[in-house]
Amino acid sequence: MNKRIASIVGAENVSDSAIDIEAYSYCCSERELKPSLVIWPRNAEQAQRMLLFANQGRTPVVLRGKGTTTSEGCIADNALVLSSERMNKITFVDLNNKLVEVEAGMSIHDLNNSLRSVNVMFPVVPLNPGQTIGGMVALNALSKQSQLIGRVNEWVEKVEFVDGTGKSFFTKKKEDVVGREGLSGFITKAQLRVVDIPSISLEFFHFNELTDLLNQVRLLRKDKEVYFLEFFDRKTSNEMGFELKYSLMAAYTSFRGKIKNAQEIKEWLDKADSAVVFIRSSGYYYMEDPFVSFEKAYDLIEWCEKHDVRLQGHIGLGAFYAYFQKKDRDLLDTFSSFLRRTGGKLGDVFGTGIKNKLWVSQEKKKEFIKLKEEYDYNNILNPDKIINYR
Amino acid sequence: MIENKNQTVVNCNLCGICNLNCPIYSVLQKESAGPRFKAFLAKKKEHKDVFWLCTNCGACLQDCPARIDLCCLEIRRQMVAAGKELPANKSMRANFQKFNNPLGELKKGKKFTKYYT
Repeated sequence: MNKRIASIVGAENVSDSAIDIEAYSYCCSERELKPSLVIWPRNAEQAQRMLLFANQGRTPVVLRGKGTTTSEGCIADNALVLSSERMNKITFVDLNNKLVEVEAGMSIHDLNNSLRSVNVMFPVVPLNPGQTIGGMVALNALSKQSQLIGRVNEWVEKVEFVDGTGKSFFTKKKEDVVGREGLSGFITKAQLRVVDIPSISLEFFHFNELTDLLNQVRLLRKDKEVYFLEFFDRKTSNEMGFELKYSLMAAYTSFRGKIKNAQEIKEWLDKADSAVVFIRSSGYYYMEDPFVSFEKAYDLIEWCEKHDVRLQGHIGLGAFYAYFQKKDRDLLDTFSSFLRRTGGKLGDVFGTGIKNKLWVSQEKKKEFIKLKEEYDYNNILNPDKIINYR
Repeated sequence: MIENKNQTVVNCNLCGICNLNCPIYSVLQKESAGPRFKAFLAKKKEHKDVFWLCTNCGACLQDCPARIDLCCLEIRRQMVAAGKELPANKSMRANFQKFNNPLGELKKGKKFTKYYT
């Protein structure tokens, strides 16, 4: 089989060496699942021929970008790994219409770095800048800016993907592939809308009482000029150099914020980004992505504070990042139970994968089964993810 | 036994941000070449040949949220002491001893014997 695959993608783009198998056995989660072969297609045609071949042999294929998911969505036992890492070029730029076409393996960090020279950017920047465009499209990624600009699906014009039978599509019918975590196809390219790098102003609010903080958020959420709202728990605020109070960072698309100077804004944004550094380097190892309605944000923050779980996040959206210490491994189950009680869920940011399968509603499962029947009847793509199909 | 003296590696949750800056990863474009895989191995106290795939530039440390230093140089030193050395490294060390340079080149106009005096 290896020879046949090498004839499709080239010998240098396929590996069954023990070291590569081990390197593709993990993602950003605790679990390890060893694949049988790693393949790095260079273009859509190679990916298409690869999936055609895999479908003929009913060989399971797991799709992978840079492996940044925490939901075990890009690892599988005895499967072929189809990695988009070597498909990482910008293929087309139309600055008049603010459109770029990017191969799936390019990270958002590299894309925005490349676009900076022409003063545009892709506005949805997730917490982990290593995420690939393909991964972001597959997860329908969310970022702090999503409060104003929505999720990735609102910024995708067209998606090129190869389904489980080896058929290639370059379609505007993006709902079949955006947010589907690779169950319907391997994303090879995406046409994205970009924006001019926005001018913003910032303001920090600090509160002793949680109710005061939530009242402020309630007011700002309705405000059309608010670009994003970031919440930091008391300990994190303190580590960032503020008092031991809850902090709220508000960014405005106008100049009404107190911090207006570009250099100062950059410094403050860097400081806000460093929150995760403070949290992670002080031993908070496990990371979860709780999503609760705004009405339940009080309960979530209070629960986390009580259990020494660090919390930061996009409070305007109800999407948070909760960090647990290594010794609190058992607390993760308690946290899940708590979330169920409050009507919240996990996996809205980092995806469902295998880990968050229990959070998928029956309605969603039916949608995925329908997609599988249309695009991957033999269930070779990401089997065991999200649903148990066939 | 080879050990990473910097114990912070246990705090690595494999987010992969280190791979973004790594010059080796950007050329080879595969997970096994990047610093995340080294951290994955170091956590398990498995030290394999990939630790030689590092320029020691420190770019991986720059954006690491957990501030993890992989200490590749120290691990390599211990690997050499434990006899786990790559042939290329062996010949490089021999070249240093014989010719005062890693490539084993003779300087123009210098006599070969000079290097043995």
